[in-house]
Amino acid sequence: MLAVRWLFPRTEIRIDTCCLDCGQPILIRMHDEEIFEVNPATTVGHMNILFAKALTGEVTWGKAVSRMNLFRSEEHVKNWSHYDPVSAESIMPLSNWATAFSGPLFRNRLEPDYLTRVMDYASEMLLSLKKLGKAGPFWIPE
Amino acid sequence: MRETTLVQRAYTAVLEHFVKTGRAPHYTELAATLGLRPEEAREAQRKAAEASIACWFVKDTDYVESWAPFSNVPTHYLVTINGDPKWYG
Repeated sequence: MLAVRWLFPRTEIRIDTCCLDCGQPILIRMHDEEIFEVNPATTVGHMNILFAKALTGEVTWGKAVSRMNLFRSEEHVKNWSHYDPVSAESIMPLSNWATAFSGPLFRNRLEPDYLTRVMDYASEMLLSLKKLGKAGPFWIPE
Repeated sequence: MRETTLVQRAYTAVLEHFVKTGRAPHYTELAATLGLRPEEAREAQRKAAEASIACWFVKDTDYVESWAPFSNVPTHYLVTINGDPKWYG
C-alpha cells in the first residue's frame, strides 16, 4: 500500500491500519518521496511467505500480498500467532519497504507502455532489494 | 486496435478508475470507457491482469479483487486522500 502515493502526486496520503498481533492502530502519512509520519515509530513491514515464490508463480499474488503486513514493532511480528520464522529476514523498518516500493514498477503504472516493461521493472526491484541487503533465496528465485 | 495496445489501455483504465472512484470498474463499465463490446472488455481486462503483477480476480468470477496497489475489497489498510477515506491498499 506504500506504492499508492505514486498515483496521487503532490497529495497527502494517509493510511490507517492495525497491528495483526495486538490490534492497536498504525498510522502512516506520506507525500510523494516523503513519509513524514509513522505512528508508532517502531512500525515494521513483514512478509510471511517467500517473496521469491510469488515471482516464480509458485504462490499466487493474492496469497503473497495478503501476507505482507505492518506491525507495531519487530516484537509484535514475532509474537503474532501466524508468524513463520523463515520469514524473519523480511522484517524491515518502514523506510526500507518504502525504498523497495519506489522503483519504476510502482512509479510508472500509468505510463502508456507499462505492461511491455513490467518484467524489466520487476528486475529493477530485485536490484533495489539487493541494495538493501536482501539478496537471498527468500527474495530472489534460485 | 492492436491487442497489446488494447490490453494496455484496459490496464490503465482500471487503474485510473480506481484512482478516481476508489473501486474497480465492472467490465461493462470498462467497455463503455474503451468503446468496446462487453465481452471484448472482459477479455482485455483478464489479459491485462495476466500481463501485470499483483492484479487478480475474485475466484471463479470476472470481478476484480486486486489491481495493485489497490484492493477492490475492504482490507485493514484504509487509504485516505484529501480527507476522503475511500481506497483500500
